[in-house]
Amino acid sequence: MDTTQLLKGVLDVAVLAVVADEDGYGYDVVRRLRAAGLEEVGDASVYGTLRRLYGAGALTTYVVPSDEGPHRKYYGINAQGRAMLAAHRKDWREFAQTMSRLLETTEAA
Amino acid sequence: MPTTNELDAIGRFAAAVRAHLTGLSAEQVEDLTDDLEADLADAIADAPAPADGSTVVLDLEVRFGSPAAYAAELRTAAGLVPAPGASRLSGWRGVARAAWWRRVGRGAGVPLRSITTGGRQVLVRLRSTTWWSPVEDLLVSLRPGWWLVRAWVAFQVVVRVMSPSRDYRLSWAPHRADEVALLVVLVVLSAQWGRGRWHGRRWARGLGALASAAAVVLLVPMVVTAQEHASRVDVRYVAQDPIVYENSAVPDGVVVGGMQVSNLFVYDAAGNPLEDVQIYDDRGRPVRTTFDDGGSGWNLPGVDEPWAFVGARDADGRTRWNVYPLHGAPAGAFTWDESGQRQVASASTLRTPPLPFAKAPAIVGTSTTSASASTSASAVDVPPSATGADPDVSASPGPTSAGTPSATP
Repeated sequence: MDTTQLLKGVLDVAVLAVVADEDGYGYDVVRRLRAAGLEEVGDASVYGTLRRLYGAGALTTYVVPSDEGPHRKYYGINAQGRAMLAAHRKDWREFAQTMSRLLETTEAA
Repeated sequence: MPTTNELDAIGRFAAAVRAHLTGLSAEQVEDLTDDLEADLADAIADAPAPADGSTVVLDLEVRFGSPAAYAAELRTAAGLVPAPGASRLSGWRGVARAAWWRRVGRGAGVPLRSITTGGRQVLVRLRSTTWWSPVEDLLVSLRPGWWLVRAWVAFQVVVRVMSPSRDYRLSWAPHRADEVALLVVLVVLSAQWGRGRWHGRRWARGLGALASAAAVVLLVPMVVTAQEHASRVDVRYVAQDPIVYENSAVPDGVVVGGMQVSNLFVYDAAGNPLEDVQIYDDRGRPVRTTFDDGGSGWNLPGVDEPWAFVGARDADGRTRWNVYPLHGAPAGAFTWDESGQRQVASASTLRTPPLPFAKAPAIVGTSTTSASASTSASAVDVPPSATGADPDVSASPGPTSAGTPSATP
């Protein structure tokens, strides 16, 4: 199965998890997602998701001035974002368990 | 640190992405793309050198997808309304994209795609040169002009195909209202296509690409054809209105020296003026100088006031206008009564107009003076041998009307 399809559903929670770990700017989040193993996530999807989560109130944003390069906009998680992440984490666990059970039983059968 | 070339490419890509974020407010576009250049630069800095070992040839489209696709993915992920008609292009990248091509486009799309792939490679090679960048900027800014040209080519093709017989009038620009309307519609179509508005269905995109390619191919032929028609000398024989020489001459009347005369003055053989002479032509018709029944005024030579004439009354009670010289009076002497009849102040004012001369030269060689055997006595015929008369004399009826034909024994 093409993981891009899988990714669409969980990108929100993946991004939240990364930002919850440590504040980051756009490409930083992309890099960390890729490093975690999500090779095929698209840059634009991540940026758009960051923007949407910020719009939904799950993330904060601040600009860090830089001497040598452009000012970067950093995203950080807030209380609402943490709550959303916790809820998503629970949902994911349940979903993953259900799917694993389903796939194993059919495999065994 | 990215090189200037890379920075240029990034800047162009980012601008294109922003351009494709149509339908959003400036603030929204800014929110979505304010770090775009920096993120792109970071991504490039991270990426390894290309596998073929060539110098870092930058093709952002290969790495990130087309700006349109990037913009669509960005706005979809951001939860914003997708551009009208935009298809879902999320998740393309590298391997996934290649997989998609393979999965979907095995058949008819291959030639087109191989062309576009070839085109991409050419573009990549061009972009590696130093001089290409400003040229590309210029070409990109001229893109709307291409939309107009494309619409014009389509217009020419449509019109010529639909009515080849009418092309004598069509060269560069439309003349008729429906042609203008057609051109406007095609311009709108071409521009909307160029702006990426109707890229929804795949068949629409393929059709549009085909139409654009056809426009490129047909550009030169259409230009040549239009030039031919423009330079063709339109030979149209316009029927000249025949110059109608209106018969300015009075259809009837007496014309001497190109002028219509008002009166005839009669002199006898001795040159004395005659009165009340009835004149008929060779068919016995009365010769009239006036046909107005005395209604109009005539300018007489040497007379200040115009004259109006009065006909003679014959034994039958008819008014006759071939009795010369016509009598009349200056126009001021006449009045009109209530029934529209003309009245003259008093009969004594009616008189002969001034004679041209009191006495005409005498005629010699008529039967009244000395008879000549050869003299003929036709009323109107003036025998050359008998005429010593001055040709300027007002038309005289003949050598003598009183003369009897001489009988030769």
